[in-house]
Formats: sequence, C-alpha cells, structure tokens
Amino acid sequence: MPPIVIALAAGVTSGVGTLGGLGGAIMLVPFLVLTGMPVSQAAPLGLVSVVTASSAAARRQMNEHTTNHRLGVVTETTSTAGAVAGAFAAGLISETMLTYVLAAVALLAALAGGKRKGLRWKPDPNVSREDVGEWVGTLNGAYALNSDVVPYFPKRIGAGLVAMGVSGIVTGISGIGGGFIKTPAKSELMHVPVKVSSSTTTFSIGITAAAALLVKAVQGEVNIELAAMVVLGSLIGGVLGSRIHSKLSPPAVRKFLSVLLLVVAVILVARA
Amino acid sequence: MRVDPSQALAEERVGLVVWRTLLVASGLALVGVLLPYRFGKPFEILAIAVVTAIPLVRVAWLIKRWRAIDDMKYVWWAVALLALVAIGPLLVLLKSLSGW
Repeated sequence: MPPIVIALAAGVTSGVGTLGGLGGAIMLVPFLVLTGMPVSQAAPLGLVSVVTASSAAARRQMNEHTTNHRLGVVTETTSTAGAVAGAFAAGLISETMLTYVLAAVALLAALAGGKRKGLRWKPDPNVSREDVGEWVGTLNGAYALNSDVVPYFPKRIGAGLVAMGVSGIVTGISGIGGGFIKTPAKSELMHVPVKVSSSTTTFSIGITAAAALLVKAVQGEVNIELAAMVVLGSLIGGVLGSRIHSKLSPPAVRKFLSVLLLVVAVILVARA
Repeated sequence: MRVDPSQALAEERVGLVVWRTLLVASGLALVGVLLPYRFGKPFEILAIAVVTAIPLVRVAWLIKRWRAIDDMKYVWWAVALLALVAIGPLLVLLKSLSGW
C-alpha cells in the first residue's frame, strides 16, 4: 500500500478517534490488516497514531480545560496495572470469545449513551468562570458550556476503577486499545460529562500507547518509515478531531460516540 | 481553593510546548520521508522518539505541578503510573538482554 494512503488513513481514523475519545487505532489497525498488512506491523502503527493524536489534541483541550488530568492519571494507573497483568494472562482466555464479549460491551455502551437525553450535570450559577478546570485534591471539576459553567462530581469511583482495570486486562490480552471501554465507562458509569471523559481519555490513552510503543521499539517491531507517515497523518487528524470536538454540544458528542461504538462492535465481530 | 489559580496559565503554556514539540517531530518525520531511506531514517527515528516521549514528559510535568501545590495524593498516583508504564519496556529489555 502506498505510504500516502497510510498517512491519510491515520489522519481520518485519528480525527474520528479524537472526536469520540476512543483513539484511532481501533479503526486504523483493522483497516491496515484488511489491506494485507500483518498485525505485527499494523499494531505498532496504531500505537503511533494514538500517541500522536493524543498530543495533537492536547493544546485545544488544555486551553478549554476539558481534560481532567487527575482523573486521567488515577484511571490510567489501574488500567496500566491491568494491562501488565493481562499481558501475563494472554493465552489463558480464548481471544475469539473475548472479542465477542467486547463487541457486546461496545454495543451496550452505545445503547446506554444513545438512549440518554440532555445533560446529566446542569449549569450552576454559584460556580464561576474561575472554577472551570479540575479541582485541587479531588476528581471533581467544572467545564464551560457556552456562557454557563457546569460543575461535575464523578460517582462510583471504585466501579470505574474496576472497569478501567478490566479495559487494561483486555488490552494486555488482546492488544485492542481500551479507549472504547474507558470513555463510556467514565461517562455512563462514573457520570463524568462526555466532553470531559473523551478529552481525559484522549490524554490518558496516549500514556499507555507510548509505553506499549516503547515495548514494540525494544522488540524492533516498529516500521520507522511507515510510522513517520502515520505521525504526519495523525497530527492533522488529531488537531481537526479536537477542533470539531470543542464545537459540538455534549449531547452531539454523546450521539457521535454511540455511533462510533456501534462501528467498533461491528469491527470486533468481523475481527473475531 | 477549587482550581489552582496558576493552572490556566500553566496548562496553556504546556499545551503550547506540546504543540511546538509535536510540530518539530512532524518536521523531522517529513524530512525523513522526503530524504532517501538511508539518510532519512535517523530523522524518522528521532521523530518517533520525540512523539513517544511527549505523553510521559507530560505526566512528569503533572508530578512537578501537583508537588508545588502540595496535592500529594495525586503526585503518588502519577508516580505509580510512570512506574507501571516503565515495567513493560523494562521487562522486555531484561528479557532480550538475558535471553530468557
């Protein structure tokens, strides 16, 4: 496949992945495999796309204070611990069975997000513009919605951390990026606003993807020439995805995420 | 105190640094792609190395910031995250060096 096509594919999947907070690898890797690239070569390129798009989206998401770094760090710690455990557990569980379970999870998350109407957290006149961002010493925060400020208080932290651990185990076993579990888990289980949960996941999946990429680099599995093309494509995709993300209303992001999760479910079933 | 008063400015600055670093990495990648493979490969390797380092340096920056405002609970979470992130590559490196 011509390298320019790989760059274009990385751009499109990174843009869509950043918009939904899932990362682009879940779409890029199957695309590359379908065009005849071995999984061992496609997977590291997927990681490069996630790392690049995560950083490309950072500036806008940090300026708008939709990324909750404390939440991202806490959830990613359990997720990474799960990934390390999962890597050792690989082979103990049938990958086909696991993929079907994940497809069902993606489908349920799509339905849960798609069914919900309106905003869970309402604008609060007692919360001022100075309160926008993540709050010191807690996982709480507030984000700006047009001229209003919406505070949020994550719920079910323990259950959320278990979900993140499970997403890490899944990543460790199957190599599938866990963004499609993390963003809906934060949004639907922990009650984090969808714009904050997708921005936070975009930040946090960049960390684990970077770690996984280091592993692949040590193993000599990264095709440097194609990876450079993926960097160029994902930079543009990540910027455009974050730009559209900031313009859409929270319900629109949630609807888009639901559609994306349906696509992921189809990809997973096809992969199984 | 809900939001650290210096947070907004710090995040804007770091966002800009991340963006500029990413542009440098993309420039290196572009030079690497345009040059013949033999000459371009070092640029491409450098580009991938820079891109990979950005998220990890960002966590290190969070540790520094949260330490400065004495938000130690989250400092330790971030330290634990970086330690866990280091385990994977370290295990693979040890494995390749010792020939497990």
